[in-house]
Amino acid sequence: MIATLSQFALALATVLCAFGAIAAFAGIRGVFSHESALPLLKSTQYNVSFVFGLVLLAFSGLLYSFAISDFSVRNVAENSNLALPFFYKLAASWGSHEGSFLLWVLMFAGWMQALAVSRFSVSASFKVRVLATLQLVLVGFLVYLLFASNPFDFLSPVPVDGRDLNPLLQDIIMIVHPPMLYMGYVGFAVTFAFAVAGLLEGRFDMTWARWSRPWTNTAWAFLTVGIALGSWWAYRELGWGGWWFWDPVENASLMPWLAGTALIHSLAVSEKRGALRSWTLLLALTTFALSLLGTFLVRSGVLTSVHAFATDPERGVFILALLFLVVGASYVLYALKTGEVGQGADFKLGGRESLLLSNNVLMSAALVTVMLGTLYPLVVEVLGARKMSVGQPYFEAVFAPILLPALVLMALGPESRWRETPMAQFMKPGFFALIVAVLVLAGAAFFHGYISLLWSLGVVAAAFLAVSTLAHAAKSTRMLGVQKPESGLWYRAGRLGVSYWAMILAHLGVAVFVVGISWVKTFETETDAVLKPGQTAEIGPWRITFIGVDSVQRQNHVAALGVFELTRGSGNVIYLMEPEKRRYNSSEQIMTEAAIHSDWFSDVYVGLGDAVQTPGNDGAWGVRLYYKPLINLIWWGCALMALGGFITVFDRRYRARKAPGAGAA
Amino acid sequence: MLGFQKKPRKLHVYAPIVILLLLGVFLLRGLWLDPKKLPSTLIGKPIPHATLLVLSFDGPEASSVNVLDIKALQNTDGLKGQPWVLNVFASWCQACLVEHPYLLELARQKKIRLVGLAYKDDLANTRRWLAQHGNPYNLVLIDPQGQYGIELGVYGVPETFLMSASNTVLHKQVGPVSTGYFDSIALPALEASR
Repeated sequence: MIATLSQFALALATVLCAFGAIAAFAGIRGVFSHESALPLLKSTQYNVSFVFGLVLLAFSGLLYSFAISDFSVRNVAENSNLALPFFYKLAASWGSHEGSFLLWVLMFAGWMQALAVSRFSVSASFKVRVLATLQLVLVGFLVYLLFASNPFDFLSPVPVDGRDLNPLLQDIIMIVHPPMLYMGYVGFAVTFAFAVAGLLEGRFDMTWARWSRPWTNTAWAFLTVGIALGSWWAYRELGWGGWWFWDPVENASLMPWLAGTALIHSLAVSEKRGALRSWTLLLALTTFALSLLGTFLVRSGVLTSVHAFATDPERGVFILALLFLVVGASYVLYALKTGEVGQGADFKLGGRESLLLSNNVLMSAALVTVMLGTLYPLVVEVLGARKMSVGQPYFEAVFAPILLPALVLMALGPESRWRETPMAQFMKPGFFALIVAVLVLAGAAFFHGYISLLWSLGVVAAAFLAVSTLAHAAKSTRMLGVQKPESGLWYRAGRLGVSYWAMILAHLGVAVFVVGISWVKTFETETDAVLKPGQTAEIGPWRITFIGVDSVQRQNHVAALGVFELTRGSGNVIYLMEPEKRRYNSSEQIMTEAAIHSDWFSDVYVGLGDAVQTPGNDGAWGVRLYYKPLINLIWWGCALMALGGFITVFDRRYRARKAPGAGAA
Repeated sequence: MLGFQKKPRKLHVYAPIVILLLLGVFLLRGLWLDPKKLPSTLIGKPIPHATLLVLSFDGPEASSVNVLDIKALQNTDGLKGQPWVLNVFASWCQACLVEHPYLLELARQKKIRLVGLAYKDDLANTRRWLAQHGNPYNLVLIDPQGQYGIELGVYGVPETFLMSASNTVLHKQVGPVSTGYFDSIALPALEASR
């Protein structure tokens, strides 16, 4: 009953959405003035809200079907079962291909709704075109959902119990990871629609860029969180102690992130200087294209990956066709109209424009690198050559040379001025930061009694970036104080603007991230050991004593629960660590749950292997131990970057101004 | 500077579409390929050279054998110079127990020569395991550090390699072999190789 209603809601949403898109496009033809577009905007907004409401209804229906374990719905029967804990039942709603696509569509409708009701400064005619574009794209995905990937398909006869959610996905982070990732992917649709509307309207000026920026930043921040959570999940759950595997699907999410990072920076140039217009437009289109490509790669099973769901070519063709229609049409539009856009102001080498452009060049290089590595095996195989894979060594070898110059440029970027920067401007702060960075390296090398090329480069670059960024923030605040000596620190910080602090935060995040990588890559250690109860192994500064293994029966699995004592130094502090090996009842699948002890920055990681048959039968177990110094800085760094992205929304410059002509509704 | 900015409306504006189309062709074709099928790169190639120690059941390993000479060893009646099977196993391997009865059956029928490779295993454990479950192999090679396993591309034990009489790898199975292995996999592969 509920499932039928939900399906009906989806169908209705599809019709409304198609109708709304057509009506808006037809109605807005030739309308460029703000006032004459207002009535159309009003009705478009209503339509968008209806569509969002209906999709939300459908998704709630799916949640409900999972909550009550309605196994007459195929999706529920295949991805949930009675013994599954309640929250995982809900999370199973997006654990399947169909469900996750419904979530995708819900997010899309949500962004559209947010745009429709937002008070961001956008002119009415432009807003109508943006909403129309979004609706048109959404229709495609709704049709896909209804005809090729229906989450409400019925199953007859109704099974007594369901199959179960993939145990890999039964994890708290897994509940949050896909929604965050999708928020990012889909958020770029708004930027995409801005670009399409801009091309349609022939309007691409500094206002355009200012309108797009908060949406791009937010989408990028969500994507950052999504990727970081995915990485954290893999680290905790896959039991290999790795945090990034260059898996095709990870790469698929990294590609729009890199393009989005480039876009954020080229939008800055477009907003402030009106330059790089054509390129910014192309980036805006491409970022969403890569989000769609990411969705395609994950959902079609075209590449081998832990994420591959369905290997059903029919569905793959459908998504691919959608990708082509959406991206192809926008690229054609770009080719036809970009000439009208013009390039805007010219600029010189050393100006802030050129530094931001070099960010774009480096990000694009990184993007092409990742794309090559990800798709090369596929291309080779299609061409009939033998199977091959491109792995970590390739990516790491090509990524470091791209990342390092990017860090240096990032450090100098804020010092630069628009148009042209006198070299002296860079010299003093650059020199200061370099000295501090080298001192930091010397200190770190002394502390660890170790030095290597890549690690040194990482440490110096990260310290250089962090020091430059902080020094710039301090200097800017101080300079305002010179102009207005009586002003307080908070007042001055406020005057610099939210976006400025967002940039500082995000750049510091990158420095923190790089420190994390440098330390983990250099100082992580791992050991495999066979321990009898009472025996002790050493890893990093820690000692780990094996106590024994208990068998624990839980709601939907049986776990072998290892008990370990963790101590360091004189042994005054003892932590208990309990890694698990689980066997899930319904699927017979074995899962390892590593135990991780985290002291804010560094982790000790214990993974339980198998019981080892020894002559005395003395209960020995194989264990795998990792020591991961500063690994958590990787995620703290991502969190800082994302925080930077999120807070730009509070920048007053992006709000609707009271003046007539902008920002109705 | 930045010459590409000067003249917009040029052919390069069509570049994105061209790239998209190219990409599309490959993605479309890729949909019909199965990414999970991982054929061994060794198939059709000679088995990698190595001299390995032979497991002896009563004491320290003394003899060693070059893998290329295995087919010529006169230790099974009538199977000298014939195709053979290399079975990678270990006492710690649960799945190996699944295929073990079938391997014993194959050995009893003397259909093909079975050579075992004790992979990353403690030798005492290997001996005890074979004593307990029965020994289908007429020769057990040992690879305690897994070095030869790397050359063979072993990534899941058990693995079973079918060798021609000229030591060419004809077929590779990852995971336990089922009871139809000899009749429906090994024989056709041997036929095809003639």
